[in-house]
Amino acid sequence: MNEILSGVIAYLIILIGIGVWARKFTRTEAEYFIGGRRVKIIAAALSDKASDFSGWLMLGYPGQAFKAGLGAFWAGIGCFFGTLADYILIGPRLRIYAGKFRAITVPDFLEARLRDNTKLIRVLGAIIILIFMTAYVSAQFTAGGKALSEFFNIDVQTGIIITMIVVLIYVLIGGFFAVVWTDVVQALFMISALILTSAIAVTAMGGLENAVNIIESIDPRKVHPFGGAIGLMAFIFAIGYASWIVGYLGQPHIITRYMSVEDPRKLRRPGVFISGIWTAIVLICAFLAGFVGFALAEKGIISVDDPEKIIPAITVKFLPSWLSGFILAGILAAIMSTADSQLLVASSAISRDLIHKVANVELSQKWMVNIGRIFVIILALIACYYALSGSKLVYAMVATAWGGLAVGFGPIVTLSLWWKRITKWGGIAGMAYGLVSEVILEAIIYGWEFNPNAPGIFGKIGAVLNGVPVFFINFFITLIVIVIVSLVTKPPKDVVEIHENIFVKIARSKSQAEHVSEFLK
Amino acid sequence: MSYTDVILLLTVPTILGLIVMAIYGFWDKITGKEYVVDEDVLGYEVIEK
Repeated sequence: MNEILSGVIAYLIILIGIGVWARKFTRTEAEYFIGGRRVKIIAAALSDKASDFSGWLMLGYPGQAFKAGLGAFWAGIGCFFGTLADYILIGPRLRIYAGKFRAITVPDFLEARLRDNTKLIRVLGAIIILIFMTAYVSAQFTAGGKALSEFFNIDVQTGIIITMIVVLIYVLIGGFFAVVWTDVVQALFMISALILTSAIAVTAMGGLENAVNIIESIDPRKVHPFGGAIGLMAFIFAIGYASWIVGYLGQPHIITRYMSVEDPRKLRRPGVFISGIWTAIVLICAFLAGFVGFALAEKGIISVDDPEKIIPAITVKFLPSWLSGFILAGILAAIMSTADSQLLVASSAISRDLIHKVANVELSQKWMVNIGRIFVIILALIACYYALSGSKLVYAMVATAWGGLAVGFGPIVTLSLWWKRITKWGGIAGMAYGLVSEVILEAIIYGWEFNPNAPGIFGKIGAVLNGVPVFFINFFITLIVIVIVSLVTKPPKDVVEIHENIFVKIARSKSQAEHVSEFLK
Repeated sequence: MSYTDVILLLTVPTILGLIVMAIYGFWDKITGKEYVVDEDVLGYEVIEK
């Protein structure tokens, strides 16, 4: 126990140390919230993925692989292609616009891009971020509580409070630079922990083939790519999991990383390679840990009371305590690296978008940063309250928050970057529809996925689309709403011209290596 | 058969994704063109010492 504790304490000291080092880069709002737009590509790319993959990766997703079997890997496929879609559709173009407009937040960019003088986009954006991001942070605190309770035999509530305090310390001190560089350390912890855990699970089971045979003998549907479904139902099954892909386009805590990077061209190379390869490895390893972990549990080699605790259970059983501390640090890394980014984005929605830009409160840069810090504390306390009093199922909590942000921001951000005809009224209608529909459908009728138990007509729809996330369908409806409203309104001529001119491409200049190789011919 | 299913589902989409990643990553070299990036687009916001 002491060795686990000392491993975790060493990890936490590293995080707080980075926070103290980063303090010198928190003099302005632009530095505190976006690192002055000069974050190194390796840090931005790893921070992108560490912020993206949360407690969901270490607890929720392996837990789903444990429960559902092979079919759960469709969620991994969705996340992998979602990561690529982010770089292809969002990354470089968003960074170019963010630099041009000096945008610090996603609502900053949208307001400038669509020339919204009504401030409605900023207000709607801030509301969407506050509601769903706070829920998202709450899911991270819950995941932290679960992990700490498993390793240290404390109750989940105490674990939730400890998680909140540690995240708060380094976000308050170091701002965006602290968040990004702690994310780099955390991304390395996460990938190492998952490789180690999955390798141990497969080895303990005598190989993957042996594990598959055992799982098949218990439940053949768990080794079927579509959970035993065929035809249209197989398609709906795969969409149900892989639908995470559309959510990538609208997560402010992820796409803000692209706005912060030192050069938009570096997002293409090496950015996409760093993020893509890291993502492919962690998704396969996390899946294998949960999938093979089911076989281990069925053989009585490990005992698991909650499928979402499969990675802690493998660790406690097979690893010496000093290595267990390392794995726990990996789990905490996944949780904290997401919670810190989300807290910062949620705080910027109030201090930057509402207080500074909507209420027009102009204070010194030092005071704007301090107001940001105050709201980091307030939002952390609210998220902690929900974590203590609400649901304890990480997968469902993350899916709900992910969906709200996906529908609220995904369609409008994507269209703003690729379609010159989008108008502010199209954007406002889309965001308003996204916010209202997600709250009504997710919070009141369905939960995060369609199901046949919903009342009235919604139950009939749920019977057909059973298991498909509400946000997946809503994403495309929002897209259509924005397109229709934009087509019946007109964007200002100069806004269209800016869009046409900003993404001009020229012949690329050769690198030094290319010049040298030409000389050698 | 089931073991083959597992291996196929884990590897085929992953390899497809890696191919997409490589094509996108080298798209500027493939087409010979890239976005114009100047000081205005970089937009660094740093307080000089």
